[in-house]
Amino acid sequence: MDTKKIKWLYSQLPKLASDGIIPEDSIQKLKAYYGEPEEANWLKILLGIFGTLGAILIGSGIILLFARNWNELSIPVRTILSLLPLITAQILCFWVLQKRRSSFVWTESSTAFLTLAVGAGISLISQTYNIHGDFSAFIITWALLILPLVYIFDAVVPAGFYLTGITTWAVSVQSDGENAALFWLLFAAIIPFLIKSLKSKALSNRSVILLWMMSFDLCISLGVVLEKVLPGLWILVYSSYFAVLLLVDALSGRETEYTWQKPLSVVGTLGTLAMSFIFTFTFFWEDIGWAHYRNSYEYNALAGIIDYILVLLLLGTALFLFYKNTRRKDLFSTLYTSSPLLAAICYIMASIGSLETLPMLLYNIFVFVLGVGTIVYGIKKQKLGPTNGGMLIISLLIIMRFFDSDLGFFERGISFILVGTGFIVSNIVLFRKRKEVSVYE
Amino acid sequence: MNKNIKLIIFIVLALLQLLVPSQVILSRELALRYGQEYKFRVEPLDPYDPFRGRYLYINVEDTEITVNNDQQYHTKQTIYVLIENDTSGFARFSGITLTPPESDTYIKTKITYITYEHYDGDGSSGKPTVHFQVPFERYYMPENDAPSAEKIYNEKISQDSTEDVYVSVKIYKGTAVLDKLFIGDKTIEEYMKL
Repeated sequence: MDTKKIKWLYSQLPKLASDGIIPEDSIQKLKAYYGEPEEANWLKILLGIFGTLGAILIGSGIILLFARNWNELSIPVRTILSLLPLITAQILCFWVLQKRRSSFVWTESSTAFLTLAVGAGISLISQTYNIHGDFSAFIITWALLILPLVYIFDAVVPAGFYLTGITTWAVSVQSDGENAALFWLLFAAIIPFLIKSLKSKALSNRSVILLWMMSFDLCISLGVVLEKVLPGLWILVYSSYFAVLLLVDALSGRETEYTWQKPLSVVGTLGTLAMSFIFTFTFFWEDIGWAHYRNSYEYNALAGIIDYILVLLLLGTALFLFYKNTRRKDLFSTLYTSSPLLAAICYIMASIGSLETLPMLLYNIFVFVLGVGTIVYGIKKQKLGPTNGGMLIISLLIIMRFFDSDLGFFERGISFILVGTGFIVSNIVLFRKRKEVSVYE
Repeated sequence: MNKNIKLIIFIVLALLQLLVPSQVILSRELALRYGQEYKFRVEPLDPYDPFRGRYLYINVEDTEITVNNDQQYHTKQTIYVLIENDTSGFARFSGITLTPPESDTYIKTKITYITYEHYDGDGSSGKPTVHFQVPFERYYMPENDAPSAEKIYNEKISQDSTEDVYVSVKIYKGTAVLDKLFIGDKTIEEYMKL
């Protein structure tokens, strides 16, 4: 039971006791049964947020001061000044490690400062000696030099910086025309920490933020790092990725108070929807598969192998978890996470027979089923959000086809009216059901 | 993890964090002290990099070399560019190799792109021209001075001035450090005080 409800119950108890509705000893039993509601220590959390923000601001301020390029100072003095923030931050972190290591306020803010100081140290030295910038090398050096902080201090701020850093690196390297397959090795280095965050039964706010960052960063890097030797593999990669996110959350059985505390589910659901919508267009099914293998010189066949491994791993994981999840008999997650299976079938169809229309048709049906499934889920759980969300999915599908397909005016008109009626009817039904429930309560 | 192990790992990490900038400092200091000085003709511009204050973009002349077809070159390849002085006392790039040359007067850099003498429908032919990066592209200046420095330079160009605009670069075993920016016989800093 969540904290809010227990708190509400406790607030009612004195009145219930004084009115004689519940006897005093039952109240004691109730309290013993539910225990003290776990009060989040807001003061500590605020301190943590402001401490970290403060450290980042002070750190940036110092960097800007030094970046002013004090021409009046000699090179040795400027060199020492450039390293000063770094040394200060290191001493601070050392002290925290010895005296304040159990306080997350101290560990997060001191490692935030050190993270910035490392980057500042390198770039300020570069400035002193007029060194031209190799951005990729700079960002990767920075990321690697702060990675151990994550494990030594159990700190989320450097972990977030690292994730963003390696993603930026991958983007920068790939846009330079080189291959960033090394990204997966760099990502592997942070996986133990991510797993640790995921495993804890109740996610702390810090873990939630970290998982948000991971979900987004991977959205970018998955596509960027692909060598794209075999066209269209991204269809499998992204379908599987979003399904895996959803399944990991679904199988953990974790209940949270708010939706934002489930980053994997949110990104997984929205990602699956976005991908499925995209695949309702014929365009994305054209020119993919073996027949269009790219062997011109700018494509690295060796790096392409990593693409295949990635596809096999992600698709394999998605299908395995999907199988495990079917036993839970949860309609919503089963429906959404069947997308990699469909993607694989469609990919084979599109690449073998050059059938572009069949995958397109199948995905139109899939999105429609997703919409209906979401509505059913919403009605069952008596939640207005998913119900209307499902409506929105179907409407969007129809609007897309309205501009896209060769359906006649008559068919379009009828389907719009049907969906509109569905919207209103299901909302009325839901409202009535809710009212009934509240009357019975 | 054990607390002591964590402390030791942290100390090692802290040393590494200091080592990276120190290594940069060391190699540049060696070049500044023992390197040979060369002058390269330039044209400055003025972009803004939020991380590093302001700098002039140093665009060295003729950063490409036409080579024979005897070697396979590709973009991003590491090359060694040989340097020699011409009769007017300015440096120019005289050749490239794929292995470190025996002389000390070279820079280590990367190929940015390659062009060919001829281009016909199904491919390029003829002698390739290798274009490369120059590892002294930035001259950092105090924020307030960079714009006026650029203005001075542009004036010099438009007046068809006889004064040369060039950078002095110290080169030591492949490491090049941009030392000063000159207009005529004065550094840009001296020139701005006039």
